[in-house]
Amino acid sequence: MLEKTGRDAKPVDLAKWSETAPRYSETKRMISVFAGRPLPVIGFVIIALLILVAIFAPFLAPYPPNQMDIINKLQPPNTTHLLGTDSLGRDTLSRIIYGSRTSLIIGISVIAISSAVGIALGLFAAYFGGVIYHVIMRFMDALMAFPMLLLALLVASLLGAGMKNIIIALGIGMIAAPCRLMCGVVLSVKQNDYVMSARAMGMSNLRLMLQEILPNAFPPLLVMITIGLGAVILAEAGLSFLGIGITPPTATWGGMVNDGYKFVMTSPVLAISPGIAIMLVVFGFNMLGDGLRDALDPKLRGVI
Amino acid sequence: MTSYIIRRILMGVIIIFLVTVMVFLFIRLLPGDPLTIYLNKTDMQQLTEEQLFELRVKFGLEKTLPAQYIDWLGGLFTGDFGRSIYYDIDVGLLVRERLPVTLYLGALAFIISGVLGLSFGVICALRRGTWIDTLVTLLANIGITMPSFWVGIILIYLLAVKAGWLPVSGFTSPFTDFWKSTRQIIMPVTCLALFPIASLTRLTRSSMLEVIQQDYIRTAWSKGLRERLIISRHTIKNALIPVVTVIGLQVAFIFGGSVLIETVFNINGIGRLMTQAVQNQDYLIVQAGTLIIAIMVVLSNLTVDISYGWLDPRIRYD
Repeated sequence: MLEKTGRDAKPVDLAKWSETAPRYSETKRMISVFAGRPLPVIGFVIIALLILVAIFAPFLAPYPPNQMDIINKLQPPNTTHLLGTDSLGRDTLSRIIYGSRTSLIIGISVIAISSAVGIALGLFAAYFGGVIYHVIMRFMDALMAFPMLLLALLVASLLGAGMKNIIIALGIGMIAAPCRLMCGVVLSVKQNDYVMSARAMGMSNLRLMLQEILPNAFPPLLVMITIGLGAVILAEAGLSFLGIGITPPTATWGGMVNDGYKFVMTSPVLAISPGIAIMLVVFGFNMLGDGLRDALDPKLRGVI
Repeated sequence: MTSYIIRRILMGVIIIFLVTVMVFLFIRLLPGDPLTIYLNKTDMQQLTEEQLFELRVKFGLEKTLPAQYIDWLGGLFTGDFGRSIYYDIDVGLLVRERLPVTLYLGALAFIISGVLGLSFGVICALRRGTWIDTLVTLLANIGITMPSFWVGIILIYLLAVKAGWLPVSGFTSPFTDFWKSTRQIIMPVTCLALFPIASLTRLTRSSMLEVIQQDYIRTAWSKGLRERLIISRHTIKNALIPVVTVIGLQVAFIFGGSVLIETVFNINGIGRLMTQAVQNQDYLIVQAGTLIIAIMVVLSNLTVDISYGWLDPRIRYD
């Protein structure tokens, strides 16, 4: 903090420094990095549309999602049914629109539960260290050994199908990633001087963790949550495809692919269209996550 | 190095122990009568209280949980996974019959995804900004979003139904009819490998780009080393370190995907066995399948970790 070196060096007037505004705003830089490239913007638009479609589903869908019309079953795409109808005469487009609700509700609840548990466990493990660290992390290693879909299959087989049980099943499978991430961040952050000074000031463990350590993990957590949402939606689609997910007649994209699979020879659009919806949404979350990662990474300052 | 290997193996043993505890507890602690593990629900309704109690004693369910766990673990060591309530045969036998199919498909998908994913990633990074890079990166970004079961259905529709080039579904052992078997597994293996290829490409590319910026690469250039040497010895070798760590995750992912793919393509592997077992409420099969797959994932992670310590000397001194 010295302006000149040598004998006549004067300390910089710190008060003056702290009053001058920073040369540029970090938020502005993040936004320009994020918005400066096409893919993150496309991702953002897709997710914004998904949320709007899910909220306004009743206004957007041309038909109620479960309205059957056996006479007009298995129709090819036409002007009255833009994406045709399924084997019970239900409008495919309306079911895809309503399916966005299922995907979004499950995605958000699973991520909320698994992140809360994972973050808490990771924070405790790394902050206290020792036996607590080893016990928690070895359990996470064991949890990681289960393919998420198998774990969900196991849990769902015991609890039965249904929205709540699918959320529990996928939530258990998603705990390990935020836990490990949190643990890594805490281990590197807790060596810092400001953590030690906060402790010297007599800050309680809980407050120290929440106020000084947790915010440091925010950028990578945000990226992980965004990409995790896509992964959960993909896994839920898989479970519903296997018929172990959400119980019919609730519209789910995975379940629709499964229904359409039986008629793939005659009306392939039934299986193809919900798959495209899954793809678009997962693509949206991935691109949004990638964009956030680049925007929030201080190492990339000036590179992009 | 020896102490590193011993430490890793010990850790692997601990993790496998925890895996068995978790699988055991999952089945025992969740709601419902544990007797349903051994008996059909409809059969149980016809039995009297005394008969049910006798059965509980017979299966050791009146003991404490730790005692039950030890009984169960002891059984596992002798290869006793219990008896399937649906098929009424030994679960171990069923698993032994179905597992090789899944392993064969999974191993092929694993090798293909490793070779293609790494090569695509390296090519993209070396040709950064060219049309090849743009195209492959875009395809990789799309590849990680496609539900594998959906890709399977589309492949069936295009290649089997429309074009008629490949059989729609089924599996034949390569020892019975190699040609038929190969034609049958092209689509399932493609589906299984798709996500790992795409994610390995992305990871290798970004890892390569990071290494290329390092000072030691500039030093290598300024030393006047040949390009081939810089790429092979200095860049790729270092860039692969973070890639190798996720190989264990790929194994888990391929096993998870096989549950879906075996259902799509009507393949009698362990994944399909487990899906059907869930529908039949045949818990012991689900338990055995989950346990075996989880242990295999731990073992492959262990192998990766040990070879990793050999590749990257820094790891050994953690």
